[in-house]
Amino acid sequence: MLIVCWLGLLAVASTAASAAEPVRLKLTPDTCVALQQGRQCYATIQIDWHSQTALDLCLHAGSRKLQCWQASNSGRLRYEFVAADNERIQLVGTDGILAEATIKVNWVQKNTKVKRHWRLF
Amino acid sequence: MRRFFALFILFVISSNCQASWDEVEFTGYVSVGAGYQRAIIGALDQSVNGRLLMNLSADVTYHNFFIESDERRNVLRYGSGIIGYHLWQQDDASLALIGTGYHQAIGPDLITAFGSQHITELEGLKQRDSDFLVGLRYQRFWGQHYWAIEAGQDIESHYGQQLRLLYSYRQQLRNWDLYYNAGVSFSTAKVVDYYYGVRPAESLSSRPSYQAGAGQQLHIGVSALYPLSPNWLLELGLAANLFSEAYINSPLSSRHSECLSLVKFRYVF
Repeated sequence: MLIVCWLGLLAVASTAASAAEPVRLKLTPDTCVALQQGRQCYATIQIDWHSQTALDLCLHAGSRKLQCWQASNSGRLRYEFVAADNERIQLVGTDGILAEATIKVNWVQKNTKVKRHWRLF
Repeated sequence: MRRFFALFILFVISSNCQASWDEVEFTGYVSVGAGYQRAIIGALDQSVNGRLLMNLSADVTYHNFFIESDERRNVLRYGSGIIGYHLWQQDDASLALIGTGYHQAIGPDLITAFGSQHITELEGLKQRDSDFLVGLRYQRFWGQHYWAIEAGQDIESHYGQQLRLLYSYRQQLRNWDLYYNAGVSFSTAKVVDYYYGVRPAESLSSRPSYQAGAGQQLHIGVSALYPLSPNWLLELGLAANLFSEAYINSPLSSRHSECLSLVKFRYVF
């Protein structure tokens, strides 16, 4: 009886989540790796989005508008990412932000508090 | 033994500088890769070719004391790190007391990380041990340019002297680092004769005795680094060394130049 109730609650939670997030946004890859912290990181990111209903929306990277779609269910964009820090990707519709994801920047070599005179790779 | 003694002296000197452990900086490397070489002594090709190359090394700084791994832009120094102590340093220049090996052992029985290796072609030769030179290095950065001058005296095997001039230019190409390297080294007769000379007791009909004089080497190379993940690097290297007559005329030498190419995956921790 307890298990049935638990599964029921899960089903309700899942439905509520899909209702709150009708637009799916996917970044491939979602991470860029640079040799050193603070250095510009370069990556070609494929951005895909999908919605069950047709929407008017625009894709933003940080404060820049990358592309807009009219009455579309899905979209794809190859984005040339160049940044030294994480960047937020947002799908913005007429009612505000519909979905968002982050391109994360990682480094092999992090800056430390010790002043580094002769760091080479 | 002398290497450990030198390391100990440098460590003691640096630990007297009131440095705290917060100032210790450590980066470790485990490298796995493969290489192809055409060494000036052809019999030594087999020490690299067709073998899995593995290396454990580290970069450590503790106040003025430092250990530099061989995992550097300088392919010329492949296989040998540096221990040292900064006598003076600024943001773009440094003068350091250093200890490093320039030559690897040559002989019929070589000790490698995977055990001993017997080289038939070198049978009858006495073992030439690897060296350990103690000396000074001045180095300077200028934008993407780097140059260094090193002078040292061996305390391990041949007791000769060597002078090296090194230049490197770094080009950042997207996430790649490309290093274009050049170097020239001057070695005294003691050094060249120790490795490339042939004593009468070692001579054969196909290997006459030979006494080498002072010699020079010219190095050119390019190496590249690419970050595969926050812990893994891909490293590519291609280098060539050109030798003066003191090396080329040796009965041990089978070529006028040598080349080395490397592909390595390096784990950083």
